[in-house]
Amino acid sequence: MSLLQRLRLARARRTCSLPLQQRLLEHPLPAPGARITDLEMVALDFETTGLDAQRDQVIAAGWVLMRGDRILLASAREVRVRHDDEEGVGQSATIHGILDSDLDDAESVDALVEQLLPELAGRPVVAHAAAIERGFLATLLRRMGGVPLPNPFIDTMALERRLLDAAGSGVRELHGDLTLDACRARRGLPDHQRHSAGADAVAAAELLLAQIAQLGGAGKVRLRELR
Amino acid sequence: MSNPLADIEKFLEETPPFDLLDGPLRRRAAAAIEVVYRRKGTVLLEIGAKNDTLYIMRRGAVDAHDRQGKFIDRYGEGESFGLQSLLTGKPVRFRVTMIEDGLVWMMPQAIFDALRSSSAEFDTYYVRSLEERLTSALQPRGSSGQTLFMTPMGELVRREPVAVSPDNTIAEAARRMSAHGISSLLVTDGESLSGIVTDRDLRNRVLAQGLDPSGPVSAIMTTEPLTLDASSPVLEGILAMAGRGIHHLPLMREGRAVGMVTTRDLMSLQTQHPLYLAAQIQKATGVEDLVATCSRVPKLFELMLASGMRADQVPKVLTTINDTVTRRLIALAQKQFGPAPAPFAWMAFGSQARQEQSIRTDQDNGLVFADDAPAGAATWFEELARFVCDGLDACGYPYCPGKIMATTDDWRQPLAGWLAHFRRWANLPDPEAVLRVSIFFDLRSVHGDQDLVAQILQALAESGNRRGSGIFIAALARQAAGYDVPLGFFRRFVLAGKGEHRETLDIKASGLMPLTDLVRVRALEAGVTVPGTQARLAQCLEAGRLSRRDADRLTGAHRLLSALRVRLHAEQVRCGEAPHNHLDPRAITHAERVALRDAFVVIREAQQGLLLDYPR
Repeated sequence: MSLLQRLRLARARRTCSLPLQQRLLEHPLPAPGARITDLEMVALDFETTGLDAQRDQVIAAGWVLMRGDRILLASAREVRVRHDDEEGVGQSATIHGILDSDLDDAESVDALVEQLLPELAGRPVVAHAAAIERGFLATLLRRMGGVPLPNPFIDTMALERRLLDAAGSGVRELHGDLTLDACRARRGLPDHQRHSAGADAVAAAELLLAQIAQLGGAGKVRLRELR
Repeated sequence: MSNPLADIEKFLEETPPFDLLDGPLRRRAAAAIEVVYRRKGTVLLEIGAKNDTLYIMRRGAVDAHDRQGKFIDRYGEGESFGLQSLLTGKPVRFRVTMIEDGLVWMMPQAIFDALRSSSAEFDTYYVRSLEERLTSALQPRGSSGQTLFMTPMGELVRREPVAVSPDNTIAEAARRMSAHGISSLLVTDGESLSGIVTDRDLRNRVLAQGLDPSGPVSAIMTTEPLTLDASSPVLEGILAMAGRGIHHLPLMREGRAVGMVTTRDLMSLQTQHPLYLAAQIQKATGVEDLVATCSRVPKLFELMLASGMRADQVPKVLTTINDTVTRRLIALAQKQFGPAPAPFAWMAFGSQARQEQSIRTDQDNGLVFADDAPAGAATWFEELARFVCDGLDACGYPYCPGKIMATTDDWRQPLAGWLAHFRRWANLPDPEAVLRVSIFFDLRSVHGDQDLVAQILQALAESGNRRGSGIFIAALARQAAGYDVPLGFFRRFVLAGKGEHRETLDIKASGLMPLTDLVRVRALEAGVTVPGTQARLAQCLEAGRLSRRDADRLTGAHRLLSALRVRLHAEQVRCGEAPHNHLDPRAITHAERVALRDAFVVIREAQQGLLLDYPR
C-alpha cells in the first residue's frame, strides 16, 4: 500500500459511520505496483434509472470475481433492487427490459449493499464507464452513513480509449465505438445475448482480460497500468 | 436474485455433451467455469504434462500437434479438449496451441467428475462407445413413429399461397387461377383470410348466372371457409373434407393463410405410398405407363421422410422400387419378344446391388445366361438388354457413363464368360485395372435363375482367397485407405487431413465411398458375398473376421452417413435442385456435426487398419 492509500484509508475509517463498511476498511488496498496475477478484482455493473447518481436509482447490480487472469463464474451474482416508495422503473425499462412486474424477487437497497460490500473489500473494482458505478455506489454508501469507496477503479472504457489512441486509431471522433458491445466486437469477443447486470459484469471482465493480454499478460501488467 | 449466468448456460445447452445435463446440473457446470483469454501462440497443454482441467473453446481456436510436430486436430467454438488425459489420468499426448486470440473456458476435474457421477447421460457420453454415440445421433426428427395419416397438412403444401384481394375483379381472379394452373384461390384482405374462390364458383356463380366478370371477387367468394392449422395431421384434413363435402381447405399458421390443400392433394398423397407405387409398377401395361408411375418417385422420397420413416431405411425402399421397375421391364420385354430361349438372370451391381440407392442412381447391371443356350439366343438377350436399359433410363435411372450395363457385350455373357471374368480379375497384375472392376464385387440377382448367380457368387468368394489374389486385394485395400477423410469441422468449414479448409463436405466421396470400399475389402477377405455394406459387416462379424466393436462402429457410421445423405437429397428434391452430395456443415445441427466427426474417426481408424494389413 502506498502512503497516499494509507492516508486515504485512515480518513475513510474516521468518517465512516456504517458498521459494515468500517470493518471492511480494515482490509489493505492493493498497491499500484502489484501484478495482476497476484490480485483479486471485482467486475461490477449497475443498471440505473438514469445517469444522475443523486436523483436516479440503481435497479439491478451484477458482479463477478476475477482472480489474476481468471474470471470465476461461481462468484457471479445478480441482485435486483426494489424501491417501494418510488414511482416505477419508468423510461429506463426500454433500455434494460426490466419491468416493475419483474421486480417481484427484488431486494432492498440495504440488502444489495450488504451483499456487495464484502465482495469489494480490498479489491480493485472493474467496470465499463466506471464513473456510473463509482458515483452511484458513493451515493448509496453516504445515504447509509458510509463513505465513498477508497478502492482503485479500473474503467475498461477509458482503458480501451487509451489503447486505441496509442494505436493511433483516432477514436475521439468515434465515441459510439466505446460501448461495451463495440469494444467486445472489436476484439472478437462473442456477442452477449442478454443485457442484464450479471451478464454485463462478466462481459466487462472478459473485455479487461483481452486488454490485459494486449498489454503483455497478467504476469507482466501492473495495476497502475490499468487505471 | 436473478441468474447472472443465463448466457453461459445457454451456450452450454447448445454444446454437447452439456446439452444432456438437466437445468440444475447445467447451472452447476456453468458456475464451475473459469474464463481466461489467451493470445495466439499460447500453449494451453504441453506434451507430458499432467492435466486436471477440461477445456472448452468459447471463442477462437486451437491446434493439436504430436511430439513430431504433426498436425492432429483443430478445435473451434463449442469443442472440448484435454479430455483424454482427464479421463485416463495419463500425461497429455498432444501440444495444444491457440491459433488465434480467444476465450477459453476451464472446468476443474473435480466438477467434471461430479457431473459425470450426477448425470448418467452425461457420463455415458464419455464412457459410451463411439458406436453407440453414432447410433443415438440418428433419432428421427420430430415425433417418431409418424404414419402417413399423421403427417402435418403443411407438408402437402408445395407452393406459395396464391391470393387476390376482395376488390380484385372476378376476371382477374380467373386469370390468376389459369396462370398458376390451380382450381382455387385464396381471397385475403391484408393478413386476414376473407374467403376462397374455386372453379366451381366461377361456373355456378358467374357463368351460370351471367354475372359480370368485372365485378369484385368478393361477390362470388365463399366467405368464412373452413380452415385448418397447417400443423393439423392429414387425417384431420381428410375427415373435415369428407365430413362436409368440401374440396378445398385453406391452411393457416399464426392467423395467416399459408396455402390451400385440395381433395386431389390428399388422394395423390395416398398414391405416393411406397406400397401403392409398387403395386402400380407391377400393373404397368407398357413402358409409358411405367415412366408415368416412376415420375412420382422423387415425391415419394420426401414423403417417406415426412411420414417418419428412418432416413437410413429409405435407400432400401428406393432400391426395391428400382428392382420392381427392372422386373416389370423384363416381363414387358418377354411379352414383346416371346419367352427366353434359355435360363438367364439379371444382375445389379454397385449401389443397387448393395440396396443403398439414392434418388437418380445410374444403372449398373449385367446379364448372365446358361452356357448351353441354343444358337441365336444371344440376339434375344441383346434385345432384352436394350429394352430394359432404355426403359430404365426413361424411368429415371440414367445410363451408366462407364457402360456397365447389360447392353455392353462384356457384361452380357454366358456363365462361363462371367466365371472367366472373375478369374481374370482376381489375377490382375495392374492395380488400376482392379479398381475399374471393383464395382462388380457388389453383385445381386434381381430376376431370373438363382443357380447361375450362385455360381458367380461362388467365383467371387474364391477370388478373395485364391492364391495370387494378393495384388488384387491389396490394390482394393490401398484404394479404400487412400481417400482423404475429413478430420471434422471447424466453424463453417470441413477440416481436411492437413488442416486445410473446405466449404462443403462431399458426403459420398469423403464418407460413404471409403467406408463402402473398405468394408468390401474385408468382405472379400472373408469370402462374404452379400453385397450390402451393413449385411457384409454382420457376416464378417459372424465369421469372426471383425470384432464386435469394429462392426458396430462401422455399421453406426454407415447408418449415419446414409441417413444424412438421404436427408440432403430429400431437401434438394424439395427445392427442385438436381441431387448432389455436397453437404453444407451449417445446414446440420451441432449434434450431427459431432456425430459426423465420430464417423470420420471410425473410417480413418479402419483405413489405418487396412494400411497395416496391406503395407506398401
